[in-house]
Amino acid sequence: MKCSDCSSLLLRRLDGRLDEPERNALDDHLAECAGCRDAAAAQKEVASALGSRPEAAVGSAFGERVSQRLARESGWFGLADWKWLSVRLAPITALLLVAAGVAVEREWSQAAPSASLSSAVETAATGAGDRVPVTSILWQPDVETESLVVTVLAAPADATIGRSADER
Amino acid sequence: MQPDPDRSLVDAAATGDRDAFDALVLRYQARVVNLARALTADDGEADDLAQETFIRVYKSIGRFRGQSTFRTWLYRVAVNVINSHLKSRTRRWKWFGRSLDQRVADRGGERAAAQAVSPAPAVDEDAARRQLIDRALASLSPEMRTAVTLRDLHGFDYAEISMMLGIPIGTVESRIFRARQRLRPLLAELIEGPAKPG
Repeated sequence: MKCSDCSSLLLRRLDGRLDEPERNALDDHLAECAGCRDAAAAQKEVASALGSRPEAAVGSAFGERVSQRLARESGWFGLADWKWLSVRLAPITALLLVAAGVAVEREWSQAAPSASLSSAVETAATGAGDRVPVTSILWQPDVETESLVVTVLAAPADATIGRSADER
Repeated sequence: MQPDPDRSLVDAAATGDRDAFDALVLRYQARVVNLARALTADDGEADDLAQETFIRVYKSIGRFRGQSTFRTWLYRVAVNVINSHLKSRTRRWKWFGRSLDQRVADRGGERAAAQAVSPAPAVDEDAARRQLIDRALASLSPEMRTAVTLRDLHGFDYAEISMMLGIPIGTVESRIFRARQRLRPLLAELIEGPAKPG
């Protein structure tokens, strides 16, 4: 056994936490190593000295001071553990914000159906004779139903749109 | 795990029973105050930090799930409160160009100088012993001081200290070993007795 292996073993020996083979190996090393013997003695002496530190008395007024502080901080807001609450409320708040954002985005996209229609229904008019009633978009296969309905309902009765390039 | 002797008081305090909480304060106030004194070397700060510890315990006792004993949990809260205070104190002192070690050493030196200039009147033996030990502890790094205080002054085992400080048991053992090595010459008077004139 090397001296560098000894430190944790010395601690455990002091606490009686070594099994027999480890204790025997350590004892064999200590029998031959004055440095480690001194280190072992120092560990024991200091632990004992620290353990003998007398506890300073705490007056009965300490409990009163704690009670007074609690009374000053009383009330839900005062005693609420804000750090604990904020850590737990943060993900819920984030989810609510995301949900609100999604709801707003859907509302905007529904209010502007022509944006979703523009890719499916090319309305570049090629001429005066190339316009068809707005209801013709009902036959477009790749237009969202909701957008379709809104567009058709919102359009004036005589509204027309340009025929798509494929249809010409 | 051994049954927790504080369990019934903790359960009652968690439901808002102030008498139960006050009983816990009475049971542990001396230990928490003495822990703070040993770790800060300042009696005034120790009292405030101990109060802060119990305030935090009161706020969060409803969430104590009994995975450790109440005593271990209480000390964990205390160590966190004290360490936060020491870190902010170190930052303030660094701002003013003084390191914590310098201030602690100065404090020890001030006391020693005061005693040399005006020999203390017959101070009771307990107070003298406590002062000597606290001065020696103040010379250690906060990490070593905390570990050896929890082990040798408050009797926690290595597993409990490891859990309290959030460090491996091997690290706890290493800090305690080195702390005791450094303390040996500082506690010589206590261990060997006062030097005899001769």
